[in-house]
Amino acid sequence: MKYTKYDLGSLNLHTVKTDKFKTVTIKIKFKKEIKKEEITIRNFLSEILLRTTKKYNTERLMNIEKDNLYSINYASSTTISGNYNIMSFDFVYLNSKYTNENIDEDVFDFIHEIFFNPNIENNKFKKDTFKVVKEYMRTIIKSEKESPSAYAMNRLFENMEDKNPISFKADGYIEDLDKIEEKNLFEYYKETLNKDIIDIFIIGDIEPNKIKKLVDEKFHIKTFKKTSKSHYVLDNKIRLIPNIIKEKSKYKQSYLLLGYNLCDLTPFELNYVSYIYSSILGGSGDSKLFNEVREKNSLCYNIFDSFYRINGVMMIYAGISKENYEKAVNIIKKQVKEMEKGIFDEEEITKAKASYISGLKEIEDTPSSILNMYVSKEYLNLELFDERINLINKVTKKDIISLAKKLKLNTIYFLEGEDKNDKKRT
Amino acid sequence: MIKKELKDLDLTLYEETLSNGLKIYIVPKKGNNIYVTLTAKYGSDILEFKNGNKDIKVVPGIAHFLEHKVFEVKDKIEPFAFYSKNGADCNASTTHEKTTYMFSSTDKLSENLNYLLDFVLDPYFTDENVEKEKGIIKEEITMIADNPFSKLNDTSLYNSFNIHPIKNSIGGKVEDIEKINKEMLYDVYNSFYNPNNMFVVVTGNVDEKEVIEIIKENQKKKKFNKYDTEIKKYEEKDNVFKKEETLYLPVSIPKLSVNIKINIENNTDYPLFLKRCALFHFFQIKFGSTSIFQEKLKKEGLITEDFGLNMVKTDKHFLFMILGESDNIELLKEKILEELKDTYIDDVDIERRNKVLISSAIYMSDSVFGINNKIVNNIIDYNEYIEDIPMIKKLTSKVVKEIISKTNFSNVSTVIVKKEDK
Repeated sequence: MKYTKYDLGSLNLHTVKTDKFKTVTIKIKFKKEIKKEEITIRNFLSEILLRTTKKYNTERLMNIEKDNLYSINYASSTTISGNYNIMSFDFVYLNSKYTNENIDEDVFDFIHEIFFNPNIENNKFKKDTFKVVKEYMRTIIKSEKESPSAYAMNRLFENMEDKNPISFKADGYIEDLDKIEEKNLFEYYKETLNKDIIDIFIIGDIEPNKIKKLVDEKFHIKTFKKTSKSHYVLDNKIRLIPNIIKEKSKYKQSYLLLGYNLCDLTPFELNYVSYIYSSILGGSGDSKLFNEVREKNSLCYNIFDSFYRINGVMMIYAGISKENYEKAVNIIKKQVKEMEKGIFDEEEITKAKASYISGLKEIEDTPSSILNMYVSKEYLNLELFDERINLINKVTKKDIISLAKKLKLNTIYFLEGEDKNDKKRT
Repeated sequence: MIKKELKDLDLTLYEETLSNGLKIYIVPKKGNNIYVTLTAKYGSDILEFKNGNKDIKVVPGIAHFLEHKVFEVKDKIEPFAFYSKNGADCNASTTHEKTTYMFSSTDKLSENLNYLLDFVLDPYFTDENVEKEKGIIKEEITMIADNPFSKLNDTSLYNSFNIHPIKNSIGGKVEDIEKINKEMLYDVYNSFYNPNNMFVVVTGNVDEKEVIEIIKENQKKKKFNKYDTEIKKYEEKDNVFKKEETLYLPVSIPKLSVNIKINIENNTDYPLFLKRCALFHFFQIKFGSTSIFQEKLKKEGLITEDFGLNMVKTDKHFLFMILGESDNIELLKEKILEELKDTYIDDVDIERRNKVLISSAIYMSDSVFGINNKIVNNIIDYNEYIEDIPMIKKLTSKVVKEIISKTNFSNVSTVIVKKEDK
C-alpha cells in the first residue's frame, strides 16, 4: 500500500495504490466552516448534483449511465464534523481487470459531468430536478420524528448546548429550505467550487500519475484556500446541576439518553484513552452497562455509549420501558461512577485493546475505511495504523480513571413512550 | 475435499462433508479478516414437524427465542465475553428459513472456531434463564413494532399467504413468547441443531486444510442423536389471503406495498436461479430506477423517491414487494396495478441488467462477508453453491421473455399505511 499526496494548488489529491481490492474508491470532500443556516443548502446541493446533469438530464438517464459504468456506486453525504460542514461524494467502481481498460477515464468523465456540467439553464438549476429534490428534502426533514432515536439524540444535544454544532439538525431546517431557489442554489454551487477546501482521496489498483493527470484535466478549479478555525469544538459550557428533560411521545418504547461534557482532554485521552473507557463502560456486548442494565436487570434491549470526540460530548443511550426510568438512571449513574473509582478489571483493558487492534486490522480490509484514516490524518492530524497501535498499547488504568474524572453529566433526556398497561385498559 | 475454481471471481471454494453429516464450505481470501458462520436450517417458518414418532407443534417466534438462548452456557465464559476478550465480534440472526451464528476476527482462528462449535452445539436452557429472556425479547418486539416499514412488511406477508407460516413475523407476538418454556426449546433444538441439518462457512485469511482439521477434531468429541426430523409441508394456494388492507400509523408520508405472489414452478423448466433472475429483471426494468414508469411518476410529482423492491421465497412461491411513498397513495396504487398489466420489456434493458448482475457478483466477492453470505443463502435456497456469472451469461432476452410470458402476475395483495388521525 503506497500513499502519495499531491498539492495541486487548488486542491489536494491523495492516492493510495494497492492491488488488494477489485474496486477503486474515490472520495471527493468539500469542507467549509459550519453555519447553521447553510446546512440545508449544502444538503440540497450535494443531493441535486448526483441526481441529473446537463448530459444525463433525467434521473433515468443518470441511472442508465450508472449501469453502463458496470454498476458504479455513488452517494453523497454531508456531515457536521466539529466546527466544519463536510460534503462528501463517494464513488466505488470495479477496476479495469473486471471491466475495461478505459474505466478510469470513463469514470472521471462522469465525475466531470457531475461537478462541472450540472443541469442548469440561464444560471439557474433546471426546474424539474430542482422540484423533486426540494420535495425530497422536505420529506427528509419532516420524517426526523419517525426515527425516535434520532429525534431523541437531537433533543439531548439541543438541551446540552445549542451553540455546539452537534445540536444542529444534520437534515436541515424547513425555514431554510423554503428560501432555496433555482438561482441562489446555482450561486451557492459556484461559491462552493471556488471557496471550499477540496480534497480528493482515491484507493485501488491505480496509476497515481495517471489519476493526477485525470484530476488536472477533469477536475479543474481555481480556488483560494484558507483554513482558520480549529476543527474541534472546545467551548462547551458545563452544568453544575444536570438538566433533566422529559417529553412524551406516542412510540411504545421509551428512550433514555444521558449527555456528558468532555472537559479538557489531551489528544491522547481523546483519541485513545476514551476508546478504552468507552469499550469498558458501554461499547460492547460485554460492557458494564450491557451486563448491569440488560443482562442482570432485563431493563432494556439495547444500551451503549458513544463518544462524539470532535464535538466534546459523550452520550449514553438506552431503549427502555417507561416504568424503568428511575431504576435505569440509577444503575447507569452507578456504573459511570465506578469508572471514576477504577472498579473494573485490568483484563477489561486488555480486551478493549485487542478489540481496537482487531478493528484496525479490519479497516485494512475495507477501502473506504482506509481512505477515512487518511481523511482524519488530513483534517485532524490523527495517527495512521502502526502509530495508533503503539499509542493504544500505552493506555493504563490510571489514564482511564483520570479521563473518567473529566466527564461531567450535563443533561438527562427522557422520551417517554406509551405505557403498555394503560393501552390495554382502553 | 472438493475444490472449485471460481474463475470469474479469482477465488477458490473448498467443500467437505464430515462423517457426522456436517458440511463445510471454505473460501480463502487475502487480507486480515476471517468470517465464520454456523447455520442451522431452521427458521421462523418451521412450526410443525415430526421428530422420530413424536409430533411437535411450536409457537411463532420460537426460532428467534432459541437463537437468544443458544448463547447461554454452563460452566464456561459467555460467548460475548469470550469473543470480546479475543478482539473478535460475535452475533447471530434468525430469518424465515435459517438461524446463523457468526464471528469475525483477525486472528486466533482455532480458539474462536472451536468456541463457536462448542457453544452452539452445547445447549443449556433452564426455567430461570428462559423466563428472564422473555423481558428482553418483548422489548425487542416492541422496538421493531414502532417502525412503520416493518409493520408494512409484516402485514404484507400476513395478507399474501393463506396457511404458510411465513405469515408470522420472525420475532413472534408477545402472547406467543409468553408460552415458550424450556421443554419446547429442547424439542426444537434436538430436532434441528444436528450436524445433518447444519453447515459451516469460513471465508477470509485461512488455510482450508487447517480449518477442516480444527472442525474434524472438534466434532470427534461430540455425540449427536440420529437425525430423524420431518417438516410439515403446506399446500399453499396461489391466491392471496387478503387483497387489500389499510393501516393507520404515525407516519409523515403514506406508504404502500404492492405484493405479487408468483408460483415458483411458473410453467417453465428453467433452473430456479434463472427464474428468480428473470423476475428480478422484470421488476427492475418495469419499476426500477431506469424505468420510464418511475420517471413519469416523478415528473407528475406523485413520487419523490425510488421504489423499493424486496423478494421473499417459500418452497412454492416468490413474493415480490414493490414499496412506495406518496401523498396520493391511492392513485399511486392504481398506477402500479395498471403498469403490472403490461409485461413488455426491451432487449437492451435485459442486457444492461445482466451486466449489472455480473458486476454485483464481483463487488460481493471483494468482501469476506459478501462471499460468506452468498454461500449461506445459496445453500438455503438451492442446496448448493451457484456460480452465478456463467449462469447469468445464459440468461438471454429470449429466456427472460419466455419466463415472463408464462408468469401469472395477477395474484396481488396491497397494504397501505396512512397517517393516523389525531
